[in-house]
Amino acid sequence: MSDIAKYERRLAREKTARQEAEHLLESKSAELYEKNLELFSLSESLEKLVAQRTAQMQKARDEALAALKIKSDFIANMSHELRTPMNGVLGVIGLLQNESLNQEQKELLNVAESSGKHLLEVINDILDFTKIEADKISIELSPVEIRPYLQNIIAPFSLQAQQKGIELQLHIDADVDQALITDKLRLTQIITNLLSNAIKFTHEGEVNLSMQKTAAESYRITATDTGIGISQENLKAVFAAFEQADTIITREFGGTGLGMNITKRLVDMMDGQISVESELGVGTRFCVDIKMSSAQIDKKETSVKADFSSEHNQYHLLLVEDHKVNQMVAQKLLESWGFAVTIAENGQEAIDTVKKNAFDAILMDLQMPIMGGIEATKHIRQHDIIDASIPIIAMTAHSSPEHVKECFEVGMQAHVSKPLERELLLNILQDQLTTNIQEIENESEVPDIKLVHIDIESSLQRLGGDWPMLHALITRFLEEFSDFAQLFDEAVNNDDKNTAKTLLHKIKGSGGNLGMTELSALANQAEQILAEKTQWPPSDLIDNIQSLLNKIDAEFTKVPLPNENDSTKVKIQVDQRDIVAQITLVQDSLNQDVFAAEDALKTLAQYELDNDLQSLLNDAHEAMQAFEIDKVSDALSKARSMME
Amino acid sequence: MKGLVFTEFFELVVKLFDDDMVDTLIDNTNPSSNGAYTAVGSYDYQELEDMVVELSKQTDIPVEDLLEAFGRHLASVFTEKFVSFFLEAGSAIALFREIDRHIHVEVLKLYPDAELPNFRYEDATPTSPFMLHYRSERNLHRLAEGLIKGSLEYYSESMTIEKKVWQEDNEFCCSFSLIDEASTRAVKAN
Repeated sequence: MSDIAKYERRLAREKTARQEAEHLLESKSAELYEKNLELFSLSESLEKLVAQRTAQMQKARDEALAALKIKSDFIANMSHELRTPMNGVLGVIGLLQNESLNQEQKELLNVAESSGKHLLEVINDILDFTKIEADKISIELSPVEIRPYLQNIIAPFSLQAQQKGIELQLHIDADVDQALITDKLRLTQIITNLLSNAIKFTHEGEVNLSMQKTAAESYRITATDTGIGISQENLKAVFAAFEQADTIITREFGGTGLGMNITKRLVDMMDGQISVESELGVGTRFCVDIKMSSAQIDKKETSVKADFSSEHNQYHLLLVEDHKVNQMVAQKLLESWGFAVTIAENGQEAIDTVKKNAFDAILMDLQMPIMGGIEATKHIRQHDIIDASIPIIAMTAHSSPEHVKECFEVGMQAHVSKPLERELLLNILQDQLTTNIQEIENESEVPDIKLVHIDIESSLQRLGGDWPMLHALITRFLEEFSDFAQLFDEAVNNDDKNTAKTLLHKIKGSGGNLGMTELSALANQAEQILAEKTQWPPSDLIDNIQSLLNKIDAEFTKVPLPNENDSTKVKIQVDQRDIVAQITLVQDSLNQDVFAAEDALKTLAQYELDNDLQSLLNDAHEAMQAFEIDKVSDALSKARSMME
Repeated sequence: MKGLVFTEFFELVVKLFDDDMVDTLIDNTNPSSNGAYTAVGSYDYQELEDMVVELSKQTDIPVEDLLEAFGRHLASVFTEKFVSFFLEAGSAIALFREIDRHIHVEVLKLYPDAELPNFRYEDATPTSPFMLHYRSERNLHRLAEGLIKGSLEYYSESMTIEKKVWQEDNEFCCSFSLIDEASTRAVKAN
């Protein structure tokens, strides 16, 4: 065979092999391509499935969270609802304690009070828990005289310990400062929780509360007991919510199971640490490490409480405030409690004034032109311009912990947030001045009237006992809606559902406020049919409302007119200027602080006014009751132009 | 049988003899594929068997010896083409353990039509050495032996190989005992 032929054959062989290889590769790559497509669609459908599942899970999670929120909102609301009557009960007990009682009655009342307070604590626990859950608690700092403070905390537990036959001891190291800046309320909660737990779980032996200084501005509060102890296993869950060491404990000792969780969270919020050691059958020790800076305290005796009940008390206050409206609001408020008030416009003026005159307390705004409150206080305290026992009370719009801390550090004794809350300010003044200041109440005689369709008593309470006002309001209301059915029919004929709704809404709201409960309910029923079903309410319902209105009118016309002259309510004689100033005050307050405006309006109501003016004022008052700010403003503008 | 085996067989023939020998083998056995092999194709095993027998005839080397030489050659090809299996295993015994449970599994993924022999193993015990049990429809245990030896060379390991051959259920069986010379010496020293 020739070489050429040999090579040709080899070439042909190689060519065949190459073609076969190419053919194989082509079919393999086609196969690969198809497999790749399959994989792609598979992964796509997998992704879709994953997305679908994820969406389902997110929905489930959202629903669960929503349900949880509804539950905690419910718990928070319930706790609020429970607190209101509890406050009523405790308030009445407090009033009873002022009555002359024999020893046994007093003791019974004390038991009722402590039980009530305990129940309130449980409710507060739940409320706190829900608030902490929702991050709604803030820390408020103030100086606390630590020794009497701790003695006060421990006092209610002494009796409990005594009854259980265990010893309760308090030990405070000598180097613990006299006064420390902390959140009194939260610290009280922490210590109270620790103590009540310790006593609850201790059957014999002792419970100790101690406080040591561990470093500069660092303190350790320790609660030790010789109680049943906690097993190592359960120790881990001590600070978890809704968990007590085991269910047997819940059965034997009761409790919400929230206490230690709240305690831990409160300690966390105060940037502290809580730890626990325990041995079954031997006892438990809780340690709270917390930072607290020391504070200056005034040296005045806090035990003597002056009793004072005349229209004017002997105290003279300096009000340092640059803002005119705030000046007037605070001044009126203070004067209503009988204080004499001098005003300084800024810190410098305050320093000049206190050099010349003696005051019993200074109310100090912080942000003022020329010289602010912090600087002024620093100056006054450093130069001992006033006696150290005279309190300086900060009035600030901001009450962040740093702000408050600064106030105390420069030598202020208390702090009150703006807008001013009457109760709070009164409490602080009482605390600082150790006086019982009695409010000058606008008491008018509550008429002894019982009506079938109007709950006079409750609506009078809403109006602060102002019977002539209530009478005027009811009269106006009945006048306005005497032809209700006719007005409503017109709306029906015009197919004007909005007007109809407004009519019903007014009757529901104003009627309810005025004590016409049944009428309000009927109007509500009709309004709901209109709103929810967008149907015209049945005509017999409208007829019923009208006939009830007629009945109320018939009943009310028999009620004697309140005789202004005979009324025990004393109208104050003032000149025109004062009236205009007061109207201005209400107008200015309206857009800033409705409550201040309402108070100012009440003051205005005490002034002797002519009939036209009084009628406008009644309008304003009525509008205020309905929170119709625009109408209040209108009425006041008219009154002002009438004066001018 | 996979085309790779045929192309590598020709490579070996060219290496040991020359291209003319390849022509001769094709001419004398007259395979239906005409000897146009590609590594990625599959061909009738009979063609390979015929050519090995023909080669033996042409060279006077026994078929068995040719098969073992072919096995060693394939081992050196595998160590280059499929180096990852060798690196992963790290030693001959470890590699042999992986034949059935890993290497052949992967081969089948790539070539679902591949016809592979079984390599069952028994680990060494104090009284017996590591055993590799070959089992196939084809009588290629000497090829397997060449592969084993080539692998040992790759890892620079030296072992004594003892084998036992038999037939069972139309299958060719061979048990290779791989005796570690170092441990044998240690046993003997005792």
